[in-house]
Amino acid sequence: MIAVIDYGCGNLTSLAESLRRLKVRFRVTADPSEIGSSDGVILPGVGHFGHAVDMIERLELRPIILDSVAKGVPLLGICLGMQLLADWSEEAGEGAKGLGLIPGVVRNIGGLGVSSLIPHVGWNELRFVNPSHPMAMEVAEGRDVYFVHSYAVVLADQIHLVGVTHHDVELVAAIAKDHVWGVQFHPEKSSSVGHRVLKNFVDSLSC
Amino acid sequence: MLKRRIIPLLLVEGPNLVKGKGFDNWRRVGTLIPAINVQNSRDVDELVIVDSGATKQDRGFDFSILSQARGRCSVPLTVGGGIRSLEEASILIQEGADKVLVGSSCVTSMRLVSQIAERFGSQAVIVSVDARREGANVSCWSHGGTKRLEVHPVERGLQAVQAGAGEVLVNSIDRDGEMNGFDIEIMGQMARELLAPVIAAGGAGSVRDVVDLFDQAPVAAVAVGSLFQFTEATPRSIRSALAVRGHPVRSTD
Repeated sequence: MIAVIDYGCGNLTSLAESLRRLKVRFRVTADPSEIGSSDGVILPGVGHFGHAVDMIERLELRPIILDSVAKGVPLLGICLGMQLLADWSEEAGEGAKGLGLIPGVVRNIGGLGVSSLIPHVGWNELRFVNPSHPMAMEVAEGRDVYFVHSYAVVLADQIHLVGVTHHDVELVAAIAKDHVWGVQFHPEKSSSVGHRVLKNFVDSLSC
Repeated sequence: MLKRRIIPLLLVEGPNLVKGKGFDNWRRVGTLIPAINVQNSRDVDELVIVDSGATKQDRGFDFSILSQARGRCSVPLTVGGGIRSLEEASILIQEGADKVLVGSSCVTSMRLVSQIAERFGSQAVIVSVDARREGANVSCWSHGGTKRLEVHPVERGLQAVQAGAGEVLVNSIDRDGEMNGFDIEIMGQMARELLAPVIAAGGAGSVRDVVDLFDQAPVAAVAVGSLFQFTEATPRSIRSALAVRGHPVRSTD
């Protein structure tokens, strides 16, 4: 069973529909015991980094998520959920601690050199820096996926970089450290390519 | 690089899919669910569904449209028509819409646009600007082309972007359903003057019309109704033609 964490940050209907199409058992939940007993965890999210951290603390989800990861349970962070895997974000300041599962900082893409449209919204290419990663299985190079974001992860160690996209500058689009994966784009909105990325995550579970 | 988008525009009244000419002369052209399934299987870039009866009948957006659409759409979904308050917009977004399209409720003030942008981000709100060519002049309209506004479409587009709209959907009323090409002049002017992506609608009758539009106006996307309803054109055939001309388009299977 996959736990899709519902912490009040974004609508989960599309993600739930995508998982239904994959015929995988899942539950949209904020219940610590359900999350703690799941075989895989998806951390979605849109909105403000600081608000998301507040909600995670208020629902006492941080220790549950960290325990699951420590036990080896696969975790997929989507969009803001990927940014929460990092240490902190410029959007909320260093006081709002991310989960610290993949070392890095979240920065405004304007400061990273994006001079055209912010937020970066629309279909853009996903280029795999690490095409042998299981996330990239049967996803052709340079396929388009759907992005909506104003902030992006800057990794401390490039070894965790899986994929990038180009919007004036190169932006981190996919990251992974062991069984913790993150994608900046929305697989549930990215048609067949997104479906395949979600399937690759589901296939990585041991259930 | 961000891709030029091809967006089917579905107009709905009750369970029916409708299509008009010049924002009038409506006729039934099908039903909603099969139309969504067809568009989703054709791998469109996004989908826009408008409850075209809502403003006319002075009622809110028909929520049953969203419940029919949301599970069938694996690309971003925009809904519009009759959205009058932040509460209505919030419910639609929380229930599965990625963006809402507003227009007639923002005639005297763009407050609703600001409210939606503040709560959900600018990417969640599109403002519809309806333009009608009258010789050398272009006028701006609301309420399905029945209320004339004392403002130029460019000015209204600028107000929308200033208020926080992430995109502006420009409809040319006199081209709607005519299938004789876009009003490239107004689309080009809007796209050059607004600091936000412009979605052009009204007049697409052939793949060539869409290519001509992108060749001559820096719009971000095109919304089409009749072209997909009454011709053999598909998102794929449009993308192929655009790619030949060097426009960035999405790669699909």
